[in-house]
Amino acid sequence: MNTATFRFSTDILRRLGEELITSFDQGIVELVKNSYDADATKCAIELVETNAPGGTVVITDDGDGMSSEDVREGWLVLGRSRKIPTERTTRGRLPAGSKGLGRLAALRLGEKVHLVTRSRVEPRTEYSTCIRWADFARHKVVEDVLLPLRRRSLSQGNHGTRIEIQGLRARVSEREVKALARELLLLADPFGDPAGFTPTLIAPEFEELETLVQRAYFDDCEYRLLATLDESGCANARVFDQSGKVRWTSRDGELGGPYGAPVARFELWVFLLTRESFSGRAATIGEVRSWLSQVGGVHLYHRGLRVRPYGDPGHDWLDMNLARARSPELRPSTNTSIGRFEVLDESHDLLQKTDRSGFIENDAFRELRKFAVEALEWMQSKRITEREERREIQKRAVGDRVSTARHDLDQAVGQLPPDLRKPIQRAAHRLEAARTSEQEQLKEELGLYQTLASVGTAVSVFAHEIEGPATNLTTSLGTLERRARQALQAQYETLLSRPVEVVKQSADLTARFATLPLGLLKRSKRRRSVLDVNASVEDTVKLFEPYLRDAQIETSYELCDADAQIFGSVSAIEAIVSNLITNSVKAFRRTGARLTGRKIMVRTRADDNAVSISVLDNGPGIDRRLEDKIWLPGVTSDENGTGLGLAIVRDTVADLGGEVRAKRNSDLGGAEFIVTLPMRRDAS
Amino acid sequence: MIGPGALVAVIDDEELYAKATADVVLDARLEPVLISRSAGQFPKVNDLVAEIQRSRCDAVICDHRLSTKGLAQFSGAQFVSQLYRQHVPALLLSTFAAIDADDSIRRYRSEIPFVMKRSDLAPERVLQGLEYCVEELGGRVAPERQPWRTLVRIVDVLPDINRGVVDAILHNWNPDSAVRFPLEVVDNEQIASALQKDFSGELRVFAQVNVGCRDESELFFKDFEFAPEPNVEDLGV
Repeated sequence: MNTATFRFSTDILRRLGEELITSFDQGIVELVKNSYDADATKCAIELVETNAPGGTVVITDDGDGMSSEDVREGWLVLGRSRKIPTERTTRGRLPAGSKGLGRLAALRLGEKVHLVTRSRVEPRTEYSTCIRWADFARHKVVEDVLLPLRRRSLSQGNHGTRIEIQGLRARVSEREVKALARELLLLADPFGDPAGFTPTLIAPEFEELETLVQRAYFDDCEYRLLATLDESGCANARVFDQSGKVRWTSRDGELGGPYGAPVARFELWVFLLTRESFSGRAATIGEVRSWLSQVGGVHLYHRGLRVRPYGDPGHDWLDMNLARARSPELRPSTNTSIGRFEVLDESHDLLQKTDRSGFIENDAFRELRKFAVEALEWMQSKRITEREERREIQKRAVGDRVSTARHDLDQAVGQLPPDLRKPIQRAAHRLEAARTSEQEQLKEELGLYQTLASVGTAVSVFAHEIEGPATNLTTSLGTLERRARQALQAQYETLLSRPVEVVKQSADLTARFATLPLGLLKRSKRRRSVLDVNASVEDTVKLFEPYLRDAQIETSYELCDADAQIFGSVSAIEAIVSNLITNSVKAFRRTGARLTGRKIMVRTRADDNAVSISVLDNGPGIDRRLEDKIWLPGVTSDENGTGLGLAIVRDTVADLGGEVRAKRNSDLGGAEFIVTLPMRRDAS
Repeated sequence: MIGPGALVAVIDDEELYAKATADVVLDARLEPVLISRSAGQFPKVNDLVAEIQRSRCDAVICDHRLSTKGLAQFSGAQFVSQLYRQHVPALLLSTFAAIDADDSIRRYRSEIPFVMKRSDLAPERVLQGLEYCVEELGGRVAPERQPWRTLVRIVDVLPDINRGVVDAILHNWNPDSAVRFPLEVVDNEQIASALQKDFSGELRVFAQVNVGCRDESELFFKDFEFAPEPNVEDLGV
């Protein structure tokens, strides 16, 4: 019987290595992980003339080294690890390396690889081999390329492995060196217990970063969360304050679970980056911020070594930033905290993806993440409860402070000579009466705004509910018209044309009225940006056109030709223009106001410094009795009005940095309101 | 080509609206098949897709808001985009187009050829809209639906009930006014993540955008990528 077998094309090496692992630092880190698995205590990476193509990377460790069998059956075998994932090494480490694909990617960075290794179990013996990738390009299948494995006896020497990747195909950019430096520094948990393994990069970038990373600012954190997950899947958590005292401890079952995940420990240091919290401390906010920007995020340490991309910039695997965006109160973000998530994974439940971009999202990993997220939620709920209690105490304290102040004043006045007491007491009473009156007025204003807010909510619900049926009415009316025309032919005009037109116009008006509040409610209108005043004014008046037509009012514009730009929001312009128009419409309803020829004009003007918007009408003008009070909230000549319209105009104009004034008699004969707003300065 | 007598599914969670739409479809000489609350409930998009396949409809007209009366737990936009992938011509009908365009519709807009305002509903418009969908599904993409690699200057990110919304300036669309889109359309994980942080300042990215469209509500965004930073080394400085 003839036999046959699979053989692999040399192309497969390129595909497996280069296409799976694409970044320089990721490939090198895979080689460093091999050193960790070989029980090395040190691993040095040297970059020689790598700022141009053709450079060399040298990786040297003091690990167990390899025998000839280890090289043949392990190092050169891709896709299978000789190490049993659940068995510990002599130093008690659980294997963290991959099955060789990352190694392949790193080795293929250059034209040639030179491996020299001295095994601990075969003292004074050195094995070496050399891989020239060009040899593979000349052959069809991988097995056709034979690699020489040389043996050399030595009189002495230490165990360990040295790999030289020569003739790099591309230069290593400054950015890649920095990424590698960060990767190596964070790899063996520089914040936790020393893992007995120190990778170093021989480059100035590494030293700079090392100083920054080692200058840890953990003591400056506001809170520290420590959550643990035990063998039975039960979670417990504690939060410590800045002095290290336990602030909160979780009760049994408070954290959810039990979780179907390996034993884990999650520690998070949360910083409050405000001036107040940093006053009197040795570290500055700037220092802590810059440290966090390099090392912040929650790093995941699996079997003692960090796994990418958890904790990398932009990789928010616990969705902390998302949770903060949804409800920002007292939540940490990846910019304001640093975390360490340790998992030994004795029973090998977590599986890394082939391309080394983290773990496969299996049940064990999902449960681990859930545990961490719920621990964060628990801390958040504790902090919110505390903050609410503090607010309540502060509120009570305000009342107490007023009584204390009054008591102090009385005592101070009592100590004055009798002839001075009376006038000072009278002045103090006047002050108190004025303050009380001001308070009352503010309460009144607040009440009116609350009423208007409720009306606004009700109107938006109404508009929402009415727009659908109103539009549907128009649709069905269209159908009715089409079919009736077809069925009745010439008779349609005499029998149905007019009533159908009336219903159509009424439906159209209803739909337009419904769109008015919905148009005003569009959220994007509250965005502040550079605005063309003419366009915003015209759009707002258009929204009101059906309403104005209905009130028999003719609208006209006198818009300036010059650029009229301000910095503000569409909703602010709408608030001004709509309230001024409504004000004019209401003036026409006053007793004695004209019944025909009603006019409203909207005028804009612009000069170098300001843009003005005027709303003029030919109504009865401003009521003399109210002339001085029109800007006060609650003052109105319309018995059904809120009296808030002009107060809103006044407040909105002030927010935009402008001014508003009223003229009793305008060019049209009625009232005129003139709003002046600062012109937008160029881009700055 | 959707010819006379073709079966058109009319999907609306409001039975009354569905009937009015069906009348318009009928007047367009098409055969409406009503799918409303009485037809059942559809928790998942695929449940409704299966219903369309079962009823052998040639085309679909679907309202955008499907959950108000509890017809489905997803939006019409999401459903129409799913049909797009299955090459079923589908019109999206929107009553509140002005409110929904920026957010819940734009999220799927690249796969929604035609959005019709309910107020524009008429037989000839339905035929035109369906024809437009058929053309695009047949590979004849209208110029206003053609995406171009466009510089997108992100100026603000606002929290939202979902993941948030993004305001961005498209210089070759309107340099003075920002366009809003939901964070979900940012299909590049790294960019999305950068925007979810306490975003401040500005970020320039590239995306495929149909900047040739007529109205802002038609804009869609996809294939986001970081705009390359100028590398000092590359400049040989």
